[in-house]
Amino acid sequence: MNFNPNEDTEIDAEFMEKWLGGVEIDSLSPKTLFDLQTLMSHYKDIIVPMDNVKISFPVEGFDTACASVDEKKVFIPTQVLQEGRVDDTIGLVIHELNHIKHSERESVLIKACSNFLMVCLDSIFVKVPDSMLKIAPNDEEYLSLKEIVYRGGFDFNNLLKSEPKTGTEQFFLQCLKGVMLLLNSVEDVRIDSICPPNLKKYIDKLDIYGFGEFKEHYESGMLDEDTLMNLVFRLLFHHKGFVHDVSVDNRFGDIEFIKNSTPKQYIPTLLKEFRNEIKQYCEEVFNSSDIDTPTMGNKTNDYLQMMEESSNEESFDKTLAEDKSFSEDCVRDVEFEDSELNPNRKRDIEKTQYEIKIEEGSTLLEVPSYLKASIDAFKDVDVVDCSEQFTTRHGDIIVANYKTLLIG
Amino acid sequence: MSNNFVIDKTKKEILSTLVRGGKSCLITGATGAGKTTFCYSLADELNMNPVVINCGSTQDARTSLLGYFTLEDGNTKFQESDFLKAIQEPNTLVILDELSRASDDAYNIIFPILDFRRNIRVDEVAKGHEVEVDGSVRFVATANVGIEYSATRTIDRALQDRFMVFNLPYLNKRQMKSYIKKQYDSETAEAVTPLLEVYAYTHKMFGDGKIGSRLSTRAVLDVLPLVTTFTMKDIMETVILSQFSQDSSSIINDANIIREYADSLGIYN
Repeated sequence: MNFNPNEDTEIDAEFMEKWLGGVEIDSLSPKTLFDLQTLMSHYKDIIVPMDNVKISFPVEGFDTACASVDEKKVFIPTQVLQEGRVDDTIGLVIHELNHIKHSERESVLIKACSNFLMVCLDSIFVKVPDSMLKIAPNDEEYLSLKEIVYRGGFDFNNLLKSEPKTGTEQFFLQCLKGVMLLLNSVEDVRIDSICPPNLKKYIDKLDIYGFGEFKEHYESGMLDEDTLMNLVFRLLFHHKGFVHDVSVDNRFGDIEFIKNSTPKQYIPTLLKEFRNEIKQYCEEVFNSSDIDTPTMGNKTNDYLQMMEESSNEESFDKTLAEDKSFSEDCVRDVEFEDSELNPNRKRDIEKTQYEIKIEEGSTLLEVPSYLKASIDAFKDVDVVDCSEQFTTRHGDIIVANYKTLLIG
Repeated sequence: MSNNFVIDKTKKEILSTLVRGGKSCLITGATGAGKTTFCYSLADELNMNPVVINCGSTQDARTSLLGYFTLEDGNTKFQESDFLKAIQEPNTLVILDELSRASDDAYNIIFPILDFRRNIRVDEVAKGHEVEVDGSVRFVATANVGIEYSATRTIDRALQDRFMVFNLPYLNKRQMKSYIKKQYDSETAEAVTPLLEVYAYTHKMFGDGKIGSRLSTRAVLDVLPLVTTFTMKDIMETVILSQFSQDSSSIINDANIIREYADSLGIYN
């Protein structure tokens, strides 16, 4: 949006003008915009006075406000202010700062979500694409999405920080975003419900604006189907009190539970409750994705190894140990309905132990037996440089160099 | 010491013991922190008569601290100053208020009184030109030290050596509330809670360098009689915020930063 300060913009600063010392905001010159943003930045001194939070007002690149709890940064698109929505901008600043104050670090959430996603993807069975038939164990016709898509080699934490480089990364990013959106909708409800009333009035006003955009779709029935994305919005506006959604109410309707829980307490319940919608969402993302043909690595499962390495590093760190425990809580006792793509097939995955060498030691990991077979088959692969001499019909000697693959 | 003043118990006892034993003490702290009030309560505690000498008005030091001549029945007569009288009066606690604002001449007069000599030469007095400080007289002084204060200066080293220096910080909001509860009642203490929050906020923001001044303890105590009659918004706008910069040409000023916080407390609802 090109901002023209001379444009007649209708300005809504009803709440702010009550305390602005008699100043009426009747135009949004660049100086006024800057001054308002500077003044609004002081909400960090009110909400998170002990934290060094950086509030930015980007003019492009951000469609919605967001916060990074890990990095203690808040981003509020300048566009909202340019539209004359002064009180709404304050609402956004307050809301995002409340994330910094109350919400769990996204690195912890990503770890828990990725852990959950792995279990989820392992429950979705699809027909093995032709390009992958050669790597399917025992010529299986169906494999889990996890087996098909995940070959390691990337860090889930980096997925949200940089542009995905491959179709596989794009797939995981979409899945992760979907789950994170679900978590965020409940977290928004939680942190807003515990916001002090004098600050909450700005958020309430912002919600009325947000609901205005949602209402038409909701009333038209467009959001009736229990898909993950529909539930994200329905959860939000049900708990904000704008609609009474029976499905949400029956499944995750206890607002007191939300208000009185920490994210680490309610997220495992939330994920378990909406596991099948998440699974369906992942299937849809997969069907619309351009997944790269994966190549079989010669390493053990990177994901499992990554988890194991981090657990070793974290063994003496209470916080990280709690994070790991939270991550495990998110997948404990989670059972998925059979995949629609392969309703008649659900493989019993026999678990077995596999010893992984890590520098000076080794550790035992529990892995599916078929994975162990794959690892065992490939771990002793050796490449040998060979050289042979041949004598031609004319008596010349030639040397042929080639590589030989030896499977021990 | 009367119970109506909030100060660290150990600090209070040390101060009291030192002054009783004849050591002069200098109470430093920000303006409105309650330094002078504390000196009065110290006099009360020691059962002494307080005499306050305002050192900020000692530009003509000899007149202010020693005395002046008047015409009486056709003759000139030397009138001793309050200070000169006080140092000769048994059981007096001389409170040298705002010592950091005193002139060099005033310092030169005060020096010999505070050290082992405990006397001062005053040529104008008839009795041998020397005035002895009574053995039971004690001295305390107050001073504003720091960049926040105008017309003050660093205290002369020689003077500082003659005092034990004690810093009296601003009361925190909890101490303020406790003090108000004792001096007024629980209802007033409760009614003034938002103001105490604003008080604490101005101190934090001042400490962080985000605003140029802060509310003093005295500024809050001064508005207490108003809280039952006027709304907190009226008190904020009329009394409290007038102590902060309010440049009407800009939205960014100290007053608006404090208003923003006051709004979060519901003062502007």
